[in-house]
Formats: sequence, C-alpha cells, structure tokens
Amino acid sequence: MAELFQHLSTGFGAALTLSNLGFALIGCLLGTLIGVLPGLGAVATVAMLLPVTYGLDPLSGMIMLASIYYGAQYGGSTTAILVNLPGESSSVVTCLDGYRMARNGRAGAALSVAALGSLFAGIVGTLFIAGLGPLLAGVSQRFNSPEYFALMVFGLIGSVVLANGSVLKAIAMVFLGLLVGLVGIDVTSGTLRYTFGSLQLYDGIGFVVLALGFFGIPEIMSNLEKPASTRSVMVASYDSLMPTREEVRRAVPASIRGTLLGSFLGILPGGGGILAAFSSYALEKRVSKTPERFGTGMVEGVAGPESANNAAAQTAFIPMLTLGIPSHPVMALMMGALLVHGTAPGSSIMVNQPVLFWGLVASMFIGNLMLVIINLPLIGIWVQLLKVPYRLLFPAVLIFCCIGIYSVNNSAFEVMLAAFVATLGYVFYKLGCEPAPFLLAVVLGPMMEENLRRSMTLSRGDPAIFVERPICLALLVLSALLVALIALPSIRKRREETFVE
Amino acid sequence: MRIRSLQDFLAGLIFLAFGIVGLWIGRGYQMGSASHMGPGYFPVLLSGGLLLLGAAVAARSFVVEGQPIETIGWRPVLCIAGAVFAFGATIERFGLVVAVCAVTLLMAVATEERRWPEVIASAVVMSLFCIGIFVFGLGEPLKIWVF
Repeated sequence: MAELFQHLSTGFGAALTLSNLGFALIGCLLGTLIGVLPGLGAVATVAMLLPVTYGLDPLSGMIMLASIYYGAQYGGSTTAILVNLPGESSSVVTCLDGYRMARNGRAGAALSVAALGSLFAGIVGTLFIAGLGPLLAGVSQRFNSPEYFALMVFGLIGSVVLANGSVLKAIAMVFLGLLVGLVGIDVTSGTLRYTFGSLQLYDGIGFVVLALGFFGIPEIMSNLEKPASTRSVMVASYDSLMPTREEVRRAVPASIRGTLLGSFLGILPGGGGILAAFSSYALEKRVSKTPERFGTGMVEGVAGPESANNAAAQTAFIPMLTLGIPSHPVMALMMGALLVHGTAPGSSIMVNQPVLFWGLVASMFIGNLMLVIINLPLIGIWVQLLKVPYRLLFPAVLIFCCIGIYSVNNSAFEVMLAAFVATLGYVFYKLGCEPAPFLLAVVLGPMMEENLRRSMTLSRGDPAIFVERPICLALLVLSALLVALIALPSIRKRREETFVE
Repeated sequence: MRIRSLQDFLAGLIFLAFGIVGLWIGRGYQMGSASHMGPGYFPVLLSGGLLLLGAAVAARSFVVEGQPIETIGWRPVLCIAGAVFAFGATIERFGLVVAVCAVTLLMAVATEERRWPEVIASAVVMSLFCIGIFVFGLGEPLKIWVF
C-alpha cells in the first residue's frame, strides 16, 4: 500500500507540471467538443491528433490522447441528455432516461448526476488501474509466446462477442484484419507480402489510414446522406443544475453499482463503454422496485450507465498498458503512439518507465476532475456548438482528417489510399460488418504471427503446446466458453435484445 | 432458392473475394513447415479461413432472413471519397490552400443545402485556419502555396 502511494506521488509529480496540465486541459476540451458533436467519435479524433503528439514527449502525448478519449465520454452524455442524440456510441443508453428527464424539466439534474457519476467512476477506475496494473504485469512476466498467442485469441474473441450484430461476420472481419495487418515486409524472412509492387506499402498500411478510413470518414458519409430535416437539433432547456435530495438518494447507489460493473467489464478484452452502459441499465432495471417506470426519466437510468461507461473507459487501459494487448481501437492507437516513442507497452513498462505509467495514471485523476469543472459551468457553450450547421462543420472535420493522415509520414499516397479504404469501410458499415474487431486484428496480426511462429518452433511443430501450458489452456478454454456462450440460443436472444434496446 | 439477406450475401462475397486474392498472391510465398513457418504459412491459413467464413456467410443468406440494406447516398459517398483523394493528389504539388479549397468544394457538391457565398467564405477561413494551426502553430512541414 505504501508502495502504491509512493508510485502515485511520482506520478503526480510528473503530471502536475504546468505543460502537462496544459496538455490535459487541451485534450479534455477537444474530447468534450468531439463528444458533444454527434457523428464523430473518439477513435477518429485520436487518430487525427496522433501525429501531433509525435513531437511531444511521450508522457505529454499520452496525457493528451487519454484526455481526449475520456473527455469524449463526458461530452457524449451532454448531447444525449439535451438533444436525445448519442454524441458517442457509449451514451446511447443515456438517451433513454436522460432525455426524458430533460423533457420533465430536470435536464440540469440529469447533467449533474451524469457528470458527478462519471467523476466518481473515473476515480475508482483509475484506482483499479493503479492497483491491478502491477499485479497483472507480474503475472504477465511469466508469459511466453504460447501464452501471448492465446491471450490475443482471447482478446479477438472478446471483441467479436461484444460486436453488435452477426458473430460470423465479426469473425470474418477479424480474419480480414489479421491478413491486412500482414501487408508489408515480413520481419523474419524479409519477404514482401501483399504490397502489389508498391514501395509505399513496404511498412504496411498505416493504422491512422485504417482508423480514419473505417471510423472517421464513413461516419461523415453516413451523416451526410441523411436528409437535412432529421439532423436539425432541438435543445432542451434547463434551469438549475442541482439535483433534489430524492434524486441524489436514488442516484448514489446506482452510480456505485455502475462503477463496479463498468470497471470489471472494461478490463475484459474487447470491453468498453457500450457494453458497460447497456449492462448497467439492465441491472438498474432489475434491482428497481419500479422497473416499468424506466424510460420515463428515472435518475438511476442516467447515473448507472454513465458511471459504468466512464469506469470502463478507464479500466480499458489495463490490458494495453500491462499486457501490450489493446482492447479498444483507441487503445490500439495509443499503443501505436507509445511504439513511435520507442516504448513497448507490456509488463516492463512499469519497471522501465515508471514515470510514464504513473504519470498517466495520475493525469487521469486530474483529467476527470478537470472535466467536471469544464463541463458543468460551460454547458451553455457546448450546447451552442450543436447549432453550428453540419454543412460548415463537416468540411472542416474532413480537412482535419486529411491533414492528420498526411502528417503521419508526410505521405500523399496514404491520403489517397484512405479514400479507397473509406469507401470500403462505408460498404462494410452498410453490410452490417463491425469495424472494431477488424482494427484490433490489424494491430494484433503481426504480433500473433510472431508468437505463433515462436511457439511452434518451441514445440517443434506440435500444436499441443497450447494445451499443455496451464495459463495458455485456461485462456483458450475461456475463449471457447465465450464462443459457446453466444452460440447458446437463450444468451443469443438476450444479446440481441441488449443491443436493440 | 432466394436471397433472404442481401447484406449477408454481399458481405460473404466480399470476404470470399479477399480470401481468393489472399490465397492467389500468397501462393508465391514460401510455406515452410509447422515448426519453421515461412512467410506464406500464416497468410495462407488466414486466407483459407476467410474463404470458408465468406462461403458460410453467403450460404447463410439463403437460409436466414436478415436486415435490408439502408439506402445508400451515392452522392455524398463519392464526393467525400473524391475529396479525400483530391487532397492527397494536390497537397504535394499545389500546396495546402489548393487542397483545402478542393475538399471544401467537393463537400459543397456532396450536400443539397449549399450556399455558394458561404462555401467561398468557409474555404478562405479554413485555409487561413489550417495555415495558422498546422504550419505555424504545430510546425508541420506542409507546403502552403503552389510555388
């Protein structure tokens, strides 16, 4: 415990410098901005700004990217409550009761409950990282290639299970992603693979190209094709931000339950805000004495899911930082940023780069506090932003996407490539194929091949090595259980219901 | 025989196509053996899997009813893809201002609610803004003007 405090004080020392506070503030503002605006997600924003952070020192860059990510979660709930549009996919659930509360004249209370619930969840989630991180890193030091391979299988299966829609198509997206990840030079043999004779593909297809091609640009496309009338915005009015005593009494336990649920679900590979928010809403409905009143403006339906998605957003850092396995496309981008700075995330990061790790953890406390301060008093300004017409907003966003892609490698080729990737991304979106499993697979592709190769060399070509090692076997059994779980008709039905709700 | 889910049918075909291309190109890479995997081993494994999955998704589309494909807005999609391509095609030869104007113009064509004075104003403002932020603020090595 004393050790933990010592680590945290190292972290706060690093995070509390004026420049790092500044980067956290910029990140929080940008994240809130993006979160408030519907149709542009955290993945796209982080991808766009990734090249900007290459010039910063690693800690400042990570602090800024992380602030954007959880800032987007906060901002998303504002739009959900006031406009009934999910600013972020994880705040879909907040629309259900949050907007009803706003219609009942309790918008201010809903906003406060959401922000304070998120703050509480953010702090608890960060404590989870501080406590669990070193533990997991300790475990992972005993990991060898077969374990890493099994862990990646588990992670990818997790992302498939949590994908919305057809499991079969999500698995196919994983295979496609792994294959796309192999484009470029094979480090072991020096063979060029799938480069179509193009020099620019020697290093593979850039991750920013894929992230913006599958998330950012198709989002703009699908927003623009909707008729203008459905995009007009009706902002609910609000007066006081203070919740009543009765609302507080009901919100606090819901927020605690949501936080615990979200912290747990966030650690799981493929985990993240959406599932946490949906599960928390279902849980609140189940424990409530008046489940039939959900959907009419119940404060529990705001407090629970909002806490859950923010807690999950924090704990999603754990697998990336300690095992080097990203569980969310944003985490994959951040891992890419770390790699650019020559830091390989994984069990060694806490030993070799304690200032980076604990500085980031400390900055999360600061960032969450900052967000409440930014969000509550400044809500009026954020709401004004919603009134900027899309015809002015989208060209600007698209230009930022283009500059973002270009500045990764100063490569015009990559921008042109992104035009094609985006068209493909849009087609997949229309065909109900999820982009998240694809993107994670792209990142994991080369690592998976490497670890598979090493394991098989270790065992002289005998695949039994994966079931002979206990940790490895456990991970594969867990993966199989996950697959079996979604194949069961009853659970399948529940899963469909959750995503439909 | 009737396609019950056009979504699945088309998705299946795309996966099949990627699987076939993967195998076709991958056939030239050294396979190696299980204990010493060559550069062709994993890609062929993946392409084969993709082929099977694509076939399964396509086959399922004849059996299981699926959701219809939402209407596709060809104009915004082509304009936006075109705008990104145009940015890439112009940024190095003609510089940031031309690239920004090209994107703004194509985005104006993409929507039905454009107002030309506004489009011109936004092209000017965006050009100045991008030069200010990215070239002077962040020091990105971007060419500003044609010369």
